[in-house]
Amino acid sequence: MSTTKSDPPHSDPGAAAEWIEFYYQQGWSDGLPLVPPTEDSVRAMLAAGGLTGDEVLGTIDERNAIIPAEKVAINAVMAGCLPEYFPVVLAAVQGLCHPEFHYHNPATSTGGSGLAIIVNGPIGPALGINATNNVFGPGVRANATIGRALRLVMMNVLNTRPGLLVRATLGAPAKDTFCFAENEVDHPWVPLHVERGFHPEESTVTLYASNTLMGVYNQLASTPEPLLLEFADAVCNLATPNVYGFNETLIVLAEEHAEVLHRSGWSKRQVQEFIVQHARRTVADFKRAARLPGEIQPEDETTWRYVMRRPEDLLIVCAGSQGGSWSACLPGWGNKWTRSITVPIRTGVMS
Amino acid sequence: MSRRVFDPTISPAAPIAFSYTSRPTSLHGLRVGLVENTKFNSEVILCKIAERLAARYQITMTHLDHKKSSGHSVTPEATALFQQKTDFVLAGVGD
Repeated sequence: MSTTKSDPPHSDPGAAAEWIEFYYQQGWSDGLPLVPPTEDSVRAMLAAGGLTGDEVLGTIDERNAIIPAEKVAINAVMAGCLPEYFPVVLAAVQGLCHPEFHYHNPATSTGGSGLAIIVNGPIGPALGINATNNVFGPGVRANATIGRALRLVMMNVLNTRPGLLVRATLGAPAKDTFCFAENEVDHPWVPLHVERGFHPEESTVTLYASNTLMGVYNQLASTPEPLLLEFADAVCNLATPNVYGFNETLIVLAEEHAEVLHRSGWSKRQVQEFIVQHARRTVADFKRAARLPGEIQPEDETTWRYVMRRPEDLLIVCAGSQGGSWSACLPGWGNKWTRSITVPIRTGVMS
Repeated sequence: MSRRVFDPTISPAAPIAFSYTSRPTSLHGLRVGLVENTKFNSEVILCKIAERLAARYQITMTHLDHKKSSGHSVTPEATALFQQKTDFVLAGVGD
């Protein structure tokens, strides 16, 4: 006899299972079971966004596509979102539609970027969006379902399906779901949304097209320079697409590394400038690896290409657990063709 | 008990209206435009094709457009130039 934390529903779980199979048969799933929507659950989702369902949330011109509010609500229910998560999903959808995000490129490319939803502001802790231990891993409903809702919208509303519009060579686990919050409590500097001009009490989503996630391990650095040189090396490794001068990059600092920087009195801007200055390779390096064409010329050995052009091209976010000498580097899909977009989350419309 | 099916997809949007220009009866002496998509070798291959068209049909390459990226649309300004300066356009697609 198993024990449960609450009483089970009175209905037969077999009925739900039949609906789940039905939705699989329609081709609407991302591969995992979908939560069967009901009149009530779709209405509650829309109400949480202050919407009725008829609204058009945005357009993707290259795809000649519109995004109706009701469809986003249905997909959010199917993803397993609670209604209170819906404002976050809506902000992420707005990010998709921003002309400078340029949806079609990161969503369909052979590079197979995962779209990171970075949540800032009070809504993160209020919804229980994980910002600490195992921040990129499973186990937290808000993280898992908000990211999944965005992917379902991309598949079902924007028809961005594998093998059709998605031409990713390998894809990425981050394409299933990728949502986390910044840890603004144990934070040495201003968080991302404040750096981008928002008030600390505002909540935002930053949508970022990430090519991959690379762990950055350093247990010995006790001063900023060695640690940041390692970050710079991760940022400019030769395997990174768009490494020669166009990229936006995300670094997620976990607490031990953030503490090293904070203790040394370095500002966020100093950290950004240091990494931007050191994340570089010579033209000769690129040519040896056939990442640039042509024979190596003598001057190529001293001609530098920088991964990022400006400190603002390096997004620094604090998240992860207190223990462990890990952080993460997530090279961008490409700053020339897309850039991260920060969108305010419209809250306080729950009815 | 409601058995309503909530469809999460949308119907395809109405296609953007366009019309084909009439097909030329001969390629001889026509003007070609090229749309280069920024990928490595895109321009090289397109220009090579244009060279061969010139050799075989005396086709002149009259405009080369560099898109902002492979995923960007051709701009309205470039489209207007193609309409004005060319009889047909070749585009490179993919990697």
